[in-house]
Amino acid sequence: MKKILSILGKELTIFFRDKRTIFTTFFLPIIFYFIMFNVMTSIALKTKKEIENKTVKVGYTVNVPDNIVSFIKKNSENISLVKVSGFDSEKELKKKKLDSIIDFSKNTLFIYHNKAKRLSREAEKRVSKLLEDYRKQVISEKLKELNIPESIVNPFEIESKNIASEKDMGLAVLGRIMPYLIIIMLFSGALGFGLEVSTGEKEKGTIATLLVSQASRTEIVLGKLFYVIVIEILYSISNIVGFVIAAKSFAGKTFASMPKEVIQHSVNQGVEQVSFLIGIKSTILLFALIIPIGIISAALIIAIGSYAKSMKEGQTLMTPVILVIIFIAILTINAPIQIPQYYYYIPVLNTAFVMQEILLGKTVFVHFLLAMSTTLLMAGCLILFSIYLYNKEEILFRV
Amino acid sequence: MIEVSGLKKVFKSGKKKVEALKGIDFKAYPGEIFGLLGPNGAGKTTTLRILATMLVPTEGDAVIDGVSVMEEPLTVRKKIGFLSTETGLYDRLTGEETLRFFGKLAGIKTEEIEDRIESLLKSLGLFRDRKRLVSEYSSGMKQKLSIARALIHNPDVIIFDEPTNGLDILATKTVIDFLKDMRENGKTVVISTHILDVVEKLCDRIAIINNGEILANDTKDNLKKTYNSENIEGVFFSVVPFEEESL
Repeated sequence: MKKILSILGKELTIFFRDKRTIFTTFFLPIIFYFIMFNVMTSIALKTKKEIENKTVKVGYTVNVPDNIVSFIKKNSENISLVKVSGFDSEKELKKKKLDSIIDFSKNTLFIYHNKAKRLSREAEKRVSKLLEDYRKQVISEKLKELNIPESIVNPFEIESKNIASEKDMGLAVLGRIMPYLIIIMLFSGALGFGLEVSTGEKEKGTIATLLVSQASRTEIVLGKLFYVIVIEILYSISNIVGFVIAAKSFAGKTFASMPKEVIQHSVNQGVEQVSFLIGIKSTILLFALIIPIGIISAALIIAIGSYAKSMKEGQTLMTPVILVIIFIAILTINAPIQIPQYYYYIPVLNTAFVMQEILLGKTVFVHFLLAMSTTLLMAGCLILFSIYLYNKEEILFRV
Repeated sequence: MIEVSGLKKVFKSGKKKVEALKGIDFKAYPGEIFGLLGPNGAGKTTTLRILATMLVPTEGDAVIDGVSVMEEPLTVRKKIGFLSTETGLYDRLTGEETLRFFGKLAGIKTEEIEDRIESLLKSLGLFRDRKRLVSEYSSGMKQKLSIARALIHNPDVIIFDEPTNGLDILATKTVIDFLKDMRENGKTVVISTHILDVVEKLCDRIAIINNGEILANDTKDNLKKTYNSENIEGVFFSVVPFEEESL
């Protein structure tokens, strides 16, 4: 153990001696997230306001009844209505640079719009709201004519009250991104440092002095592995701290700048209310989950680093690994509402889901145990694999 | 003492097999400098890497002070100090930290390490620069520090791969003085080189190696007598078939 700690100490001394590395690893993420959130939310808010103030151009065909046209004209200030002569609304929409077209056929009112364009989506939203108001007005008038009370068709009102503040809602939505961020950071953050202590030692010729020292190859691998784990965990913590500080500072602004559909999507997926001031128990659970993932990524980097002939080759070999991890991380963002049970048996993926559960305050202990055990098992196998590679001279002295 | 017997090494690369050593034998004695002389690709570095336990032989064995490299590689490492022209030092450690690190890996007690570092750095003239980073050292200083690193655990056997290759005059002198010093102290020294002048000046016993085979092995004087040559260059070209690219 002493020799492992000596190797870890040597690597950490080398790491902390480079001020630029310390800055880019620990301080840059904090500054980066602060600037990123500020710029992102400012731009999003500005765009949202611009769209809200903009007058949308809506066309209507000859089929649309006059009373509907006049209702829209009378009740909307930011809709400009244009009569279109053509009969193919889709073609007219593309040709005449309109944001939306209303058509009427067989007692159905069609709102043609292009979901890929923000102004077209806005036009559809405004027109839909007006037409809904108009429909209510028509029903109300008809009921009056027939002398029927309105309560017949509307026996009670529905009003949902969200007790979460805008800030809480913003944080809740951002909380879904956290596991994604942590996992990506664990794998990509220490990549450079991991390759530096494995492939880098081969390139610089320092590996020979280590191999002839009285440390066994297992001790060398474990020393390097612990170093990579320490650095990637510190890197992840600095990223999480940076993210949380920025998220807390700009949460209200972020929520205000978010399209309603995004918020609704998150709510549908179980996000209700989250406080980033998570409790000690949750913090311990989160940290406990980070460690096996850290071991997996460190062991993978060391294994690939031992095999690679050069840093360039090492980075090339790590690319598919990072892509798989990104794929897994993306899965957690777009997770199904009901997560299939077998997902909890897949290492890394299960950890991401359990991290979400912890952040959302819905920890299922069985899921936590499954994530820990399968990920630790995989981590153990990868450690053995990297030790095996380090003992293979045809790998270590690969020309 | 080093006893090498029937040492074979085959490198496999896919379906390709390269026989780097074809069963070599030699002995190196304490108080002597043993030189492995041969052209590039002859098998010198492979032999020294096996002696240093970096590579495992395919057949045969090497016994260092009674310990087999095959059976007890970790014990062998306690007995040897390995050096090469590539100093293998960490630029962002100081001279002192470098020695402390390797001292700890050698399992030396903390209080002993500090005494050992002080005495080695003083004897090599590096004590004043002990707190400077290795990156700030000159090539000669780096070579001296590399020597100190190899001697931190006071080994009885010194293995030096291409000791003067690519070094400037000052660094070469440092290395040559060091090797002579080791011989005087009764250490077993094995070097590999393709520089005839180094062998002539330094070595007591020589093995000429080519294509993984030892073609001649004896004391320097005996080789000269056997091959009726005034110098080692003559011996070498009598033994190794001359090819344009052999040297």
